[in-house]
Amino acid sequence: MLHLKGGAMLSLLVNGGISLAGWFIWNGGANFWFAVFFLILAGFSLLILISGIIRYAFNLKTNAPESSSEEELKH
Amino acid sequence: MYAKTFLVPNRYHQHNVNNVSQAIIIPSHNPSPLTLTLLCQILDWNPGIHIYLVDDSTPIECQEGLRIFDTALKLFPQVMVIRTSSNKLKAGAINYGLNRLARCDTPLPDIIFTCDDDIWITPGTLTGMTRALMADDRLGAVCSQSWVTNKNQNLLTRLQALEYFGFNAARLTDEGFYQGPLVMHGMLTAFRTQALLGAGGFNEQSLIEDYEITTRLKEQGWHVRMARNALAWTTVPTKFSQLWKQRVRWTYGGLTVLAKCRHWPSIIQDVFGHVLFFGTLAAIAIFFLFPFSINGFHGSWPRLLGRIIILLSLAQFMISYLFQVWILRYYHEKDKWDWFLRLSILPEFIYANILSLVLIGSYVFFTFNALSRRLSVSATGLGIFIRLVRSGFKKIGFTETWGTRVA
Repeated sequence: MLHLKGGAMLSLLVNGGISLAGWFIWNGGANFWFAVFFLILAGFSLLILISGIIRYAFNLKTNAPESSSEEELKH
Repeated sequence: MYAKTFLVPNRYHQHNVNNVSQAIIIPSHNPSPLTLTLLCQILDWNPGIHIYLVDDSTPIECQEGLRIFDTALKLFPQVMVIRTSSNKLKAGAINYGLNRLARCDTPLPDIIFTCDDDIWITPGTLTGMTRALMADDRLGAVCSQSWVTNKNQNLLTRLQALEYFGFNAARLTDEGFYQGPLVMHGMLTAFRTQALLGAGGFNEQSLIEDYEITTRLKEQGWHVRMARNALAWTTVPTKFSQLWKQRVRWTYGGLTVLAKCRHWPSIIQDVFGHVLFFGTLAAIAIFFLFPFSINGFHGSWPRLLGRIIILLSLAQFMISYLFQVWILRYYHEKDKWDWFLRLSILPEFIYANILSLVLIGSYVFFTFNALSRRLSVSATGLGIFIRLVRSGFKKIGFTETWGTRVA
């Protein structure tokens, strides 16, 4: 649901990178467009994550299967 | 039309599914006894189904594999065993089965299943998929959930099982998002016959034929989804070298599909993933390699922007982590070790980052292949250099030459 390559936990790497860049920008020394680029990246990835969670919850509730998977698992 | 599906996915209607005719094509090369188990399961629980078991030119030296086909013929006379004239790999073997099916005197089935020859299913798997597929006229294909048979074999298989559980969650997330999940996996998928034949069958040149056919179905306007009540199990690689080869095929094959696809709603999830990953990677690289090029922004703005970026990143990490922990409650095969792996973060973090090396390698390999095709290789020196680099890639598992089967 994250649509980040290499597994959901890879978001740690992406977030780590973004945070690192944020830290450097915070301490000065980065140009304006670089900071804006990272801001868009961080915002966009958060937006995708949240929209994915909303859709997951929506589909979990509304498109429920007719028979129980748990019954199948018992088999 | 599509934008609203970011938050409110399409809903699919429910229709009655009486009298749906089904066929299943099982490509097989040097099969194991699991194939017999699968045939037995299919016939026991879906008596009306037509089964095409395609022997994809199992070599004569593989006597045990050939015996499986003989046994299948003896035990299950209703199964049609056909043999390809040469090894065609998975996509070719399925197309071979499709051609045979189309040439039969009987009417075409409503649904055609394709699957691996070593999976496990339950009594409701195929029925569940049939219901999910026929629920709405817009649907062209549905895939099963994918679970892992050998989850408890070692740490690697356990991590893959957690990952497969994540794949299922991602498919549920993507249900009704644009035209549905990114890939109808090759492990077990049901196609509406009209959709599959309309798309011209599988592309035999693709390294990742399941992703490729999904994009073409979407190009033709079909939607796809995962059948939530259809469970199937597969065996995952137990050794890292096998896993590496499998993932190179997935990631590099995915890039080749992405490069050819011109219908962006088919690949929207992949585009997001690559843009975010590659963008971050490139920006970090520029930051460290060319720090002088990004200097020159001082004052209060950098602090404010930096704070916002860090806050957004921390928020994403926390939300993502809590969500991953929360959805583990739906993982029916979990045990204390799965909880430990998920809660402790580090094992999955290391696993994901090692696999991210496959992705980075795939970017480099893809760029190299694209460039080397454009260059004239008639020049001796350049030709030798390209061959040397290609053999270097091959040594670390990057090649364009194998099919679906792990070489």
